[in-house]
Amino acid sequence: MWVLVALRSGPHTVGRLLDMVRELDGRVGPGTFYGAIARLERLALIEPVTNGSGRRAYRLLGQEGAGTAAAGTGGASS
Amino acid sequence: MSRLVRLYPPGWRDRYEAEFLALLEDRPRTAWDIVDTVRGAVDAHLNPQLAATGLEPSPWTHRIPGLLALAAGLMWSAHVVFIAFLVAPGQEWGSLIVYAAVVMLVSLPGDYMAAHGRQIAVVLGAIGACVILSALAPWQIQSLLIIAGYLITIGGMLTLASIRAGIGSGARWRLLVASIALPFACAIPMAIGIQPIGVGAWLILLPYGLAWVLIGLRMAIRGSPTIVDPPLNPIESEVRPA
Repeated sequence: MWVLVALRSGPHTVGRLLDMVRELDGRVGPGTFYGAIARLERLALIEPVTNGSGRRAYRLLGQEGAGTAAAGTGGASS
Repeated sequence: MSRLVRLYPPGWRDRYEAEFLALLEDRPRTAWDIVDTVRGAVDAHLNPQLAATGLEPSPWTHRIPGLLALAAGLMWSAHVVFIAFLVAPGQEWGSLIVYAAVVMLVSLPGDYMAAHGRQIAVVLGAIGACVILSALAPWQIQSLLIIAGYLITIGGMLTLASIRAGIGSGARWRLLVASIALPFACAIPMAIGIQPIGVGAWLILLPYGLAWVLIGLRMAIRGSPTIVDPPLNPIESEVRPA
């Protein structure tokens, strides 16, 4: 999952995260992107966070576990 | 684009709709985005477990605004009933309603205040205008201005709270009509002397308290960030323009 790769550098807002995933994997639409977000959240690999301005962002739930998962699912950016 | 999001299942929309729409609004739309949004909706319907509730552990601090609104609504409603049925006429003015209104106001701040500063400024400006004009106006008009200021205050607070609770525009108007406009319309016969003022005079305030109970429950269940929630990592400010 490229989402996991992008999140290894730290938490990001969804807009920034989508831009990073597109840099890594080319054309990724918003529907595909949120499908990936929902799956990763369901797998407890990422978690949502909200900053002071109410903007939603995501981060890896556990850096070590998530990093392993990212390596294991490499190019399947759903 | 918001119409396309309605293609997604309700559970998915509860969880992701707001941030999904915010993401789409932040960047130019392409035909591919539309196609991919529809594709994502099909995927969400085929995999309903993706939108199962309870995925997001909501911090307990997110419940504070809802609990405050709920407490204020209960305090208001209980006190209205208490005054209407249990307090002797003329002894009503040691009222908790003022404190309930303060708690309602306290439930509003946080990041929300910054996001809806314009609406708040309009409400405060209208209240201030009523106060100033009521001091300058002839006495015949003063009572009308005082009533207008009162309606703007309680209606404004209810509107802002319902926006914070994520209640849509149509439902918000229905709530305002049911909890403020209709009760006051029912009070007109008493105000102009057609009907004697009795127990019902206080009960016109009851729907307003119940509306806050409704909003408080919704806010407490859904969660809402508060002023005590610390900002995320500074990297959050790093949002590139679309």
